[in-house]
Amino acid sequence: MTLPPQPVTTGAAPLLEVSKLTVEFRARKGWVTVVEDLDLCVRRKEIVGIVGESGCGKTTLALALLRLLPQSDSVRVSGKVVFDGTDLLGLDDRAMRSFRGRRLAMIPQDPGGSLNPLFTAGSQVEEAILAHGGRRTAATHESMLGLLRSVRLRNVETRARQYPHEMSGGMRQRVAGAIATAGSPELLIADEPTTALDVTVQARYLDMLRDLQASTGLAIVFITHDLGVVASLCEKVSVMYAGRIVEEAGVDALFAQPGHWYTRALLYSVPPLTGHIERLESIPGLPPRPGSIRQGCRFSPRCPNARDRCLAEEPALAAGSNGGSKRCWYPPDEEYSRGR
Amino acid sequence: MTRDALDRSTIVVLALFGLLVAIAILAPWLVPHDPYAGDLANRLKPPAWLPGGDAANLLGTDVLGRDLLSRLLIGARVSLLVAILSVLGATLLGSGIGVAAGYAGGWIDTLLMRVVDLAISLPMILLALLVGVLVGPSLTNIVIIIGLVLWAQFARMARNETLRVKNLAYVDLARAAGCSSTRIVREHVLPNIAGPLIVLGTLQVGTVIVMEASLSFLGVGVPPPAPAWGSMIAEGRSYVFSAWWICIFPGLAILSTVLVANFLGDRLAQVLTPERHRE
Amino acid sequence: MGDEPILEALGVCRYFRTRQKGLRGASRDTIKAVDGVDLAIPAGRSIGLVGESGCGKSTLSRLLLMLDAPTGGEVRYRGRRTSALNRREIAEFRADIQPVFQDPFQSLDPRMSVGRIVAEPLRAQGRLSRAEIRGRVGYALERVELRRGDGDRKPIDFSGGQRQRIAIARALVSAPRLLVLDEPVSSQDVSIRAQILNLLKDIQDESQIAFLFISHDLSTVRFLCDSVYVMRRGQVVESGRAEDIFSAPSHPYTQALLASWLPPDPALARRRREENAHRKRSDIT
Repeated sequence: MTLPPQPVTTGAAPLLEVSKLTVEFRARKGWVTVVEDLDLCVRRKEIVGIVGESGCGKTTLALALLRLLPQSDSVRVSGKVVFDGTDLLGLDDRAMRSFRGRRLAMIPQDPGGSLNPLFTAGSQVEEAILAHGGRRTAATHESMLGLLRSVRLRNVETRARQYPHEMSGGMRQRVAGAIATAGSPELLIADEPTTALDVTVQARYLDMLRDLQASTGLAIVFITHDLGVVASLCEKVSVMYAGRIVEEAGVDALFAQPGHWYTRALLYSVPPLTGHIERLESIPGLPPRPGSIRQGCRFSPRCPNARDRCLAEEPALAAGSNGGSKRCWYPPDEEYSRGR
Repeated sequence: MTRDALDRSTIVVLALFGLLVAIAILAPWLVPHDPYAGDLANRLKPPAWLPGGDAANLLGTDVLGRDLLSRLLIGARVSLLVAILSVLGATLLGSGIGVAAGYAGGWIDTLLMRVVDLAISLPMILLALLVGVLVGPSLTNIVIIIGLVLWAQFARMARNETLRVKNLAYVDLARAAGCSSTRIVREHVLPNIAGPLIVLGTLQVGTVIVMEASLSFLGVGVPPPAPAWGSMIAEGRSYVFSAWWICIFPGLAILSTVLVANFLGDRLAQVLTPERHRE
Repeated sequence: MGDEPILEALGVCRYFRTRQKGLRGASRDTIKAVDGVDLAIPAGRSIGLVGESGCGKSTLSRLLLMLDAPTGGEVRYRGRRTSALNRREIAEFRADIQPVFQDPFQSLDPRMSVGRIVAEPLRAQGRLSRAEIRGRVGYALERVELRRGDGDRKPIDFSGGQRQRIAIARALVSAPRLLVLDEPVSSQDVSIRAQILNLLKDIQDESQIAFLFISHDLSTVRFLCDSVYVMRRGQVVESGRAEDIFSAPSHPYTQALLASWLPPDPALARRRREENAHRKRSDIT
């Protein structure tokens, strides 16, 4: 099949370049590695998807990128997170605060928990504006309303005066989006923002995000477990399993010809909307718990194609036939075909 | 209970509590002297390590020449007996009413909870004084009075816990499986609310010891000549500066017992309800 | 066994009265969670109930399960009104119709062993001996791909997906005629979801058990069900055969639902966006 032309990338240097990021937590029996040796590259204006199931480390990754993990001796972060030339992991707290919100921001997963129930939506957005820009002026209120409009809320004057509990989940997520973009960041990290939303609400939210991205030139890292969302929104996709990236490719290439058995299994786990199938291909067993020591490929115990080499030696990320890279010794080579 | 529950601090606290109970039970055999026999020639003798004291009366004697240590040990019996009996009674009565209110809901719940509100607002001391005047103070009466003041708290907690459990999916599933209300209460509600109630009970033991001491101090507790820590403090009131040991030692006994009970309650809270008490 | 459906809703309503403090003192508002629903579950068939949050599908399922009583209309169990069932008939109903709920962590009593949890419907009936019950429990556990020995363990030893299997084992143990599944896989990861859906499909294929499958996820309903009811704001807006509804929906809400479903196919997603944009442009001109 012919792939559509690749999206034009503006600027040679990537906006965010993560190299060998490793996050470990101290547990009773020693250190547990939740994110291992992770590389990620995001260009300006690019929408990158990170796909993984629970326990794969994706939320820890999001927190690590923004240096939001607790600073204590039970957390160890190593590697590099280079944002527009600056390694964020090397900054002190004060310097990091000038980046956070201002140049890169996050929409967390839970719409209820990220908004303060005691303050109106408008005041929380204004607080975000002031946190990045200084003093309150006559223009602050107008800017706040503008932000609420940019996340496609209607009747913004009324919404601004409402409290979070008076709003639906979808609206709260939009307010969270307005707060996140208050500082005009260049990169937005969205951690499963639509997981708790209804499907019609989700569709509208994604439209809003797409428009926002088109108008502001924002780059987005979108974390999700939903392949439909990825197909609809993202240009590039990284698949995470047990703390590692196991495949990375352009969205069309990934879906047309998955380069890793886990990706393939995820695709075949989703039932089609039309047409009748007898069974889904499911992955037997459970994902490994963080900290369980494993020799060889992390996915091999559940892989339908595991061979001896897979059990003994962990593969490195290598170039794949679909134009991306994959961490697999014997990747699937047939095309993913399921007529829709 | 997991193995981590039996860590050092829990064992220490349990051991201390066990020690107190053991002392209370074995008191009659541990006393060096007869706690009721006073030797007027020996009255107001200071403790052994002070000038004027000797090893015969380690903690000194009171105004009637009775050995303080012996009275303290027998007093422990009274205090712990009252505490355990009244807490047990209050727990059973309170939980029964609370579970009934929580599970039945509706007007039964409203009615019972209004009764609970009433009971909680009763002033204990006044009630005790009233009963003391009407019926005369005795061990049984003290247990009943304290129990009547205490049960309402258990009722409230039991009702709230029952409401919490009642709304969980597994109770709905039990109904859908055909379980009767009795069976659901017996097999699902009670086991799941027992933890917090046990913790509350343990913490109340400390409270009751102070309550009993207060009542004894006011003269409506266990009647003399039975030694009770509270009445010992009352007796020693006039001698606070001259023969301070008569007040201080019973006071210290109350303090340590309450502390141990509180620590135990705290530890049990960690063990029985770990989801609510993350350290 | 007659021709009547196992379970039927006829004009069923469930209204909730809430007391609200208006400006002029207390006033009463009515929430119409279920507002006149007709639904039938014939023996051996697999019925889907689709809708978004707040549409009333969970409330309706509680009415059908006799965990709540309707404020209007009636629910019929094999032709008889559920409000008029005697004790013996209610016991029959309970054994015949078993639910599986969404949250596997709240569905299992943490203080009970798995074996006792699965045995509960049988113990409530009180008809079988302990040995017979143990046998049935063991069989049910194996049926959901767990082991007999798992009956001695507590829920805390099991993952979310395994707990859902335990919940399904328990639902099967009394040999019911109908399983009511309310979002049984929504809280699971995609890979576990597929495992459980396959299990449910196997159960469907191997037995004559009827299914009422309630979900907001269109593709899982399509996978398991022959007929579908679409609910919105307490009412059924469309119903019919799954293949008809999913390929050619007639009600605008159903169309919006289907249009919002995101296929894991980037080319298709792009095409749809272009069609939508084109449609919007031609609407304006």
